[in-house]
Amino acid sequence: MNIMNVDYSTKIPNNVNLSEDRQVLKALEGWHPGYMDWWSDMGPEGFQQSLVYLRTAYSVDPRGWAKFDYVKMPEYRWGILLAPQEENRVIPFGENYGKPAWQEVPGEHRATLRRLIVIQGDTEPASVEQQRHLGKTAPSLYDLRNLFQVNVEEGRHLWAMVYLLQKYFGRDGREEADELLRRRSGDADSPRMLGRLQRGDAGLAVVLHVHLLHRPRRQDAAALAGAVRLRSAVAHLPLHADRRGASHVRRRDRHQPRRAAHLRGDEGKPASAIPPISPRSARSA
Amino acid sequence: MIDLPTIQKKLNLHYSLSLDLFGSEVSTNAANAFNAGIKGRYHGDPDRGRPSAARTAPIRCSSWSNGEIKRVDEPALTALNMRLRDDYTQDCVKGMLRWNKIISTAGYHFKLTLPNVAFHRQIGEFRDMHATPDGVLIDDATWNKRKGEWLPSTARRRLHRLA
Repeated sequence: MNIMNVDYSTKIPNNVNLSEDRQVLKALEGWHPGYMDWWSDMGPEGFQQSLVYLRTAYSVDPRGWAKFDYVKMPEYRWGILLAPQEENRVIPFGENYGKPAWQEVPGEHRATLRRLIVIQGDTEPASVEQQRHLGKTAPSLYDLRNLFQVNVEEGRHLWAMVYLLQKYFGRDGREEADELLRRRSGDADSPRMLGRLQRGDAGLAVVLHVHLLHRPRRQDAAALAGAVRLRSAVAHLPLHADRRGASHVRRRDRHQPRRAAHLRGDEGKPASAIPPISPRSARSA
Repeated sequence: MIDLPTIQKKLNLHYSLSLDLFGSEVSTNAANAFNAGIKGRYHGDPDRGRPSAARTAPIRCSSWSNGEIKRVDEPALTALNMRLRDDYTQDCVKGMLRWNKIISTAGYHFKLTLPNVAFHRQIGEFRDMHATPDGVLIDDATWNKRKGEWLPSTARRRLHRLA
């Protein structure tokens, strides 16, 4: 196994050599059942047993990295897929600009970093929780499939944050990882951390939600992306009220980026390359 | 079927809530985390490529104090969140123009607009005041009376859920 390719032989698919990192593997395996409980409680409602045409990453190489197949969402292979480590990487901003990137968490920044990771981690399940009813009102199968792809990717981002917490923050990190599964969007007693993520809008909001809420990511999460441009949030969730009109929209949907538009490794395929979920699997929902 | 004015209200809501995600416009926390090298931004450094004098030049920010909005100069790094928020606004404008084109192509005379950044904020400079989507300052009583014109109501939301 190397960093580019994902090891699917272990219970938790990964490209971080978990099979030789027993302590973290054990922590993640301990966390896994709680995650599955959370997904069945708070994941997309009414579609847990549907076969959905989903993309699963098998590599983080931007040139080719995914396979497509019908899976039931709870059987999706979530795992730890990190961008490959760069040799001689330097800190790209701030007072430490140009110094070698830290390979361990610096003591003086430990608390701040933990908090940043916990907040980022908290937004991922919060997003799934907010969108759990949206499948009922999806205007088309195409939107439905896109919604579920976004949902499973959010789940995978949570796994990534949990890996960082469990690997680098010891017992504190493990406790924080458990808390990420305990909080619930809009819950009076243990709400999610950001106020924005407390709402449970069930109806209209899918396009606005994805278009507006997911856009802030373009500014912050792409530090690794180098010269590769992030793609608009609507490219993978096009407006569907305009099936017959607005040819510019359809043309843009067909546009194929010459390389992966999104180095985080998730929603990187253009929408046009992804067939919708089959009518059969949606009817059986 | 959902009418366009309702979509405008939903847009007002989600856009203003999303602006809150950028954090306080003027933030020493953001500046410190950036300086320390623990929280970068898009492409690492938003000032990359700018001449060094421009990197440290103060940025003019809107600030709310004593019942009025003033323009004050803040160090560029302290205003990091605001600058990213403004980039986000520019990005949203592009998406909105696309929507408007769809609406006009379909033959309707209706234009969606993004509300002012001071509208309906819970975090940052404008959290202690009320403003209309046009950015006109209003008092609490006016806000409570008129917010239904600008934001979707819960009753309406239930209706959509049934629809």
